Amino acid sequence: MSTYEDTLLAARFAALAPQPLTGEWDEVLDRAGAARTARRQLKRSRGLQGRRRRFLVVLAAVALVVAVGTAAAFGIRAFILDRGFIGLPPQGATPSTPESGELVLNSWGRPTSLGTIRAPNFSGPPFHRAWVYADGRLIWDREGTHPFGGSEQTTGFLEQRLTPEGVELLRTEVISTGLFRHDLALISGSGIDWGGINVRNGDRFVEVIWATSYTLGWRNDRARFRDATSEEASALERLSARLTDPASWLPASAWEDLEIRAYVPSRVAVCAQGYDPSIPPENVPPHPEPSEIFALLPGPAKDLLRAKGRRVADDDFCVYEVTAEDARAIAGALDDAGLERDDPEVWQAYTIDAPEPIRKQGWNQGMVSFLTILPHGEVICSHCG
Amino acid sequence: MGGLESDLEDLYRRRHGAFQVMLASVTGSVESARDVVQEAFAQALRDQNGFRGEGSLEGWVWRIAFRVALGSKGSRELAVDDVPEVAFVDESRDPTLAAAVRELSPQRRMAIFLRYFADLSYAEIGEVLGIAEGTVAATLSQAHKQLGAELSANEVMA
Repeated sequence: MSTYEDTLLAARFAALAPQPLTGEWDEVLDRAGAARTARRQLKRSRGLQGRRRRFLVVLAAVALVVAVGTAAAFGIRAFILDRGFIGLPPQGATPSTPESGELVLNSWGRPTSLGTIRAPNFSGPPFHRAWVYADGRLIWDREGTHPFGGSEQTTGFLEQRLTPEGVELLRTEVISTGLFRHDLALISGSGIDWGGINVRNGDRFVEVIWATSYTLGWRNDRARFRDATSEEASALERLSARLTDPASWLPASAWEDLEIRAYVPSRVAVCAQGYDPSIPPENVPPHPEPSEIFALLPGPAKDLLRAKGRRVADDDFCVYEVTAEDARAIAGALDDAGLERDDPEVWQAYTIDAPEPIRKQGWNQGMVSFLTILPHGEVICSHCG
Repeated sequence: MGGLESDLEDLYRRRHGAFQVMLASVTGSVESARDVVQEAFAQALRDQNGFRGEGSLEGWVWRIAFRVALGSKGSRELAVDDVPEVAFVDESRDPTLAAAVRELSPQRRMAIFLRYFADLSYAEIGEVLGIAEGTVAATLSQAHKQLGAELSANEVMA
């Protein structure tokens, strides 16, 4: 092809190029910062390992709260858990269906409407998260003790079912505030109240986050925040309260099944990273490659992971997905090998002594954890904010 | 702000448009491509140790971006030698060229898109595709030849 033809071809491609949208570097920083913060909080929650907190006998609790239902379409007996659990789903628990789902709305934060919890190193509103899907599922979890909780520290992931009308009512409740035309970061509320709502508006998601002048100090993206007007502040306060307790205001017709049950994932992520609770958050060295940690696992667990794990490409730590059943088998092999469980009140994770090459990277131990995969594919840690 | 972070910001400010245009051909829309670009740069910021300086910074970010783009389409398994499928977002604006491009092999099509949409050099295309610069030159030459033949035939008939 001649230069002339090359130029013509380039021009034809140029004519077919879509018009790019505006780019916001602050938004990139926010995304990166949110994940960094989540990891620091994850580390902090792991740092509690040394404190001997009273531990509910989670498995016993789960065994007591199993309800048996019938899946009418197939005549198969469903094994439903009517309270949360920590770690991997118990043997035989019926997974939530469908396996995947389209996210419509996600909210998170510490709304003051939820009152105050007292933990060894914290006193304030519990951290609450919720995910609403187009298929009607409302999945949520909350920090602290709760009648449907899996432990004293967290509910684990719980599920209720909305009708299509209920999903739309929730979405409309958010959109109708007029705040969700474009992404916003607002200074609002008081004390340690903070949070965010991400909602589908047309063919895109819009995110509004808020913080108080006190909690803003923890954020590295504080320059993008502006003061909320009094109308915006009251709208956020109202929304935040409503999204943490939708049963208090949605009509009965909005619910397909108001009953609270455990969200049981079909698939679980297997994650690996360095572990050392003595390292202060501001001095965390780069983590070893997950493959370096997985290589330390006992033979049977390693073989199972290789045989059953599906490698995923887009996560720094959680590089395998397995079925819940395979995850239980791998965890069983870790238990059999005598690996120590990290804080079993909040999650299912194991620590393993690190050899010299990993110690040289600044880590005395490695950690392998099993994390829930939500219907829209997000890997999530119960109790990690 | 560290050196690499500053370089990433500079790259983003100069090139986010090109990233969006190119990635729209993987995700199917410029809106989803924008989201992929934001996430890819965020991942690059979070995992700065992953850049070992063995190639260009831009090549490294492109590889992250394609992984994110494939992940956003549900293709979570990505083999080393996978070449993402690319297509025009709106073929109706030049159906003859679209038809000719569809006849290319995935690797030739990808090389062509990287050349004209991402405006990458041969060396950078090689980094993204994991092939030598000379192989890029050969791939593009073959793709040009094939496109030329397809376009001549179709446009003469039309």
